[in-house]
Amino acid sequence: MTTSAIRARLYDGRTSGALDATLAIAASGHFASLTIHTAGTDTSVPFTAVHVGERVGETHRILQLPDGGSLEVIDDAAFDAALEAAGLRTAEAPIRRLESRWRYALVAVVTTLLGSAGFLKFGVPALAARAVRFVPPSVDSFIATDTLRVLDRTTFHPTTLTTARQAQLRGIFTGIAAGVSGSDTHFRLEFRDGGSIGANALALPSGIVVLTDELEQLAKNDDELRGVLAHEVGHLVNRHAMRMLVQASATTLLIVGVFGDVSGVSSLAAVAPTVLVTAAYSRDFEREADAFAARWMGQHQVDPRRLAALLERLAERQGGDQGGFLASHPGLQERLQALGGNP
Amino acid sequence: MATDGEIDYRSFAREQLDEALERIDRERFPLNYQALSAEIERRKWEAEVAARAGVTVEASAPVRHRPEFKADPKEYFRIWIVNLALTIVTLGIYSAWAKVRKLRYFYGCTVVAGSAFGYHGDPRAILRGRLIAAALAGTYLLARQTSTLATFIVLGLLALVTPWLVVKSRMFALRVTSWRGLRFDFSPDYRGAYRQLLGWLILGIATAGLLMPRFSRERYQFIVSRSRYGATAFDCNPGVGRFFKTAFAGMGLALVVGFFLGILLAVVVGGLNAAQASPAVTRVVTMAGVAVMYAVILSVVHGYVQARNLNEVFGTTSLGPHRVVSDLRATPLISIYLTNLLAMVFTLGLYTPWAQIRLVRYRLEGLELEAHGSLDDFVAAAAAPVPAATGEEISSLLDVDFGF
Repeated sequence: MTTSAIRARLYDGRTSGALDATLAIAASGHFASLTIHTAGTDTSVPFTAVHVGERVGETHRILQLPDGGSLEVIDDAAFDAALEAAGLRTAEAPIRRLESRWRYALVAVVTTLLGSAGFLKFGVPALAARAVRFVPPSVDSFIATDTLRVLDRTTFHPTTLTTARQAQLRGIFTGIAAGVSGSDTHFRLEFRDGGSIGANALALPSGIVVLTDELEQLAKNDDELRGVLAHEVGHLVNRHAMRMLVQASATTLLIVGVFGDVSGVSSLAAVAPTVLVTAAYSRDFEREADAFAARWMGQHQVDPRRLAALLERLAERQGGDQGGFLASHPGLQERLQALGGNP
Repeated sequence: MATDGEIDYRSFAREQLDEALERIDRERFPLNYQALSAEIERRKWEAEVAARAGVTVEASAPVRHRPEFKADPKEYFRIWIVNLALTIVTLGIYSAWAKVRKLRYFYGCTVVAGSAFGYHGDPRAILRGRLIAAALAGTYLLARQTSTLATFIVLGLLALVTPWLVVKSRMFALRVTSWRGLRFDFSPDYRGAYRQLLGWLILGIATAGLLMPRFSRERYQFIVSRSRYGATAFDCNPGVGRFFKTAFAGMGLALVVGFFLGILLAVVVGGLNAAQASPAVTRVVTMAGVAVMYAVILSVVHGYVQARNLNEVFGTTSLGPHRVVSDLRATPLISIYLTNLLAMVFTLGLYTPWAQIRLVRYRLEGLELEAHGSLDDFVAAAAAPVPAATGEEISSLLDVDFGF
């Protein structure tokens, strides 16, 4: 069976000149051949020697000929029909089919949104937790090694707590840290005047927990501070800094991979989702640290509501609840509830 | 006293060119000399081609070919989303095939003088490149978290390999691009890459950015003039002065726009405070305001600088006897950047296909190829092997800026 003439342009591969050509596909049994007819000459090549490119969208199909030349098909619909009539298909034909129907596109939209959301919500944290197990805890201390130095220079001032009080609090801290299975003895408690950040406590990946004088003064009793220190030890024991690092890196790669494909300023659009996702991870880590503190307090006959009371006082001083999609910590009500405080 | 590199020899008659060549002081005006010799070469070529075709140069008026970008955003949306979904389902492995299909669509939709471009990248090579690039990018992201010192060390190493990456990346990208059955190519010149790219970058940084426009000019010049179509090299000789003027005007523009937007934001936040809005609301409004300000300033400056620089680069580009004409305007480019950004944010990225096509269409259709003589006379170069895609993939992942 032979198909009717199909218009194409022939390029010889040696110069940029183009020749008008007509094509025909002849198929008999398992053997198919392509006939190229130009002004004056007819050439026939076995179909197996021709590399038939698949079309993407409405672009022209390109056929690579064995002699280095190529054909750009003009009558694409006619060529497609001829290919089909000859029973020939390219390997990419199924993809092209998916790309040409709106209902598959709709399935793809749902798959993409659910897939990426699910991966960010569950996949990335699970993978990070698993990956971190292969990294010895001593490596954590290399993260952000200069944070305390920078804070000392820009924000903190030397503590005004007495040496006796410092020793007393260090005793409490060591008690918490030592009781935690798998924890290292390199955890250390430091005191600083909080400067512009005021009442606060932070756990640095190097194993240093910093307690500000302001928070020490805000606490009504040492049980409240036990809760705070347990929360910070929770961050260290669960290696949140390392996990955050892995999760943030994976998120950046993923989001840039998906949305950063537009050149120029529009790739800025990739920044917003990255910020939202990392804030969500941060809130998850705070929940985990709160849960750790509540569990430790429960085991050591300290009422978890003591920590809740301190958090409440802290929020009051900072001027209201700081929850929301951009916040690094969960909303106050949620945290109080988790600690068994006032709903 | 004229500045070197400012003379446009294209308007000179053949005899005037010969006269100028005899008189020129090569030491003092190296750029003029370069431009002059290039123009003479071009005229010789023109005469040669004309002689072969049996016509005189004066007889054949130049023909202008405007590229046509036939992409349809609705069609591309389906292609994009199906390939994206397949990429996610295969945990990223398919992304190399997705990239090839995207580029084949974009190249195939770009038509110059009746013929479309072709993309021939091998997805397996791209996948190999991507895996290596991802491993390196992961290392970089980790280093960035450890300390400032580690970040600087990694950035320094990156700067050292960037010229090599640029060369490898251009070689890959051009050798898999064709038009009318002939491949493009990039002549690897590593010494030139280090001199023109890294050398000027270091000078730019050392002068606190004062010489950065020169770096930008050298980068464009290097990338374009090392490119070839078949055996024919591109020639590109953008004026140095224009880059400095554009950069300073761009900075002025940033200051003016930033000043007015800053006042606007201050008024809004002041109003919120006066109305005793809750601190949380004020905080969110301030953050959003700063983000918008940043995006607007960046779009305006980027659009302006890009339009002016590309006009200068393409406007001084020729391929054999043929010239490129570039007429990009800052205002439409800026409005495309801003509306694209806005639409991307509000559609969760689903606007991507429209954003890409609008940008590419405007930029392609602002160019013209002014053909002096037939476009059928280019000849192929000896076949060059396509290098590994590693350089290409590292550059695109680390967002190495080619300026285009």
